[in-house]
Amino acid sequence: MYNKDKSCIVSIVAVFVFAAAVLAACVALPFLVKFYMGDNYAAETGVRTALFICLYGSAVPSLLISYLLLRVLLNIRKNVVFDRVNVKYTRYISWCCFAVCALFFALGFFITFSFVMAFAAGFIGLIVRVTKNLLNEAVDIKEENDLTV
Amino acid sequence: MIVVNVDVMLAKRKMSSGELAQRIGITQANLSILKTNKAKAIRFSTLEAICRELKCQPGDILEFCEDEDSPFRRD
Repeated sequence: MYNKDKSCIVSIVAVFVFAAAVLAACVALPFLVKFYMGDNYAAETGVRTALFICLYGSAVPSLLISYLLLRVLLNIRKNVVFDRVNVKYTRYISWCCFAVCALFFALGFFITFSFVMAFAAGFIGLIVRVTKNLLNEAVDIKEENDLTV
Repeated sequence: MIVVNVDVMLAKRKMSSGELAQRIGITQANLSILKTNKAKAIRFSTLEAICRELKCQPGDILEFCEDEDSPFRRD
């Protein structure tokens, strides 16, 4: 049955799966790009380089996000929930999303469809940011509550 | 700002802070927060218990001080 602890473990496993997927994609990237570009692979050096820079570049924030999510989840397991540390991690996560957004926006000038990806990444970053603002307010309330005698 | 003078009253009544904490049913840590002026709020129930045990009025343990950087200051 559902309980808080199991839910947390599921999230931790999911983070590991996500990180593994990112790493696997990094390893397989040359093949994937070759497959995606087909016959144009040799000719269009510009698009190829842009794809590599953008995808390898966005792997860094993605792995950073996995690491930060793991830290937040481990904090929750340690009962450190409404803490400034988690606010900080959430803020870093939103910055990572915006970094991915910027990379895909730049790639959009080579492959137009990637503007859609940039929009999605930016929107996720925005949602995380608002969550961070909420968490910050919650920390304020908790501090006030802890200091009420 | 509001200054808490519990320790002055404790000295007058010759009571230890551990004893007071036990009598009013709060932890030593919370009483310490109150004594060091770190508290942001005090419950009426706590105030009532302190006044009962120290046989004093709220004004004897709480004091208002004019303060430049108080967040509640009105200009």
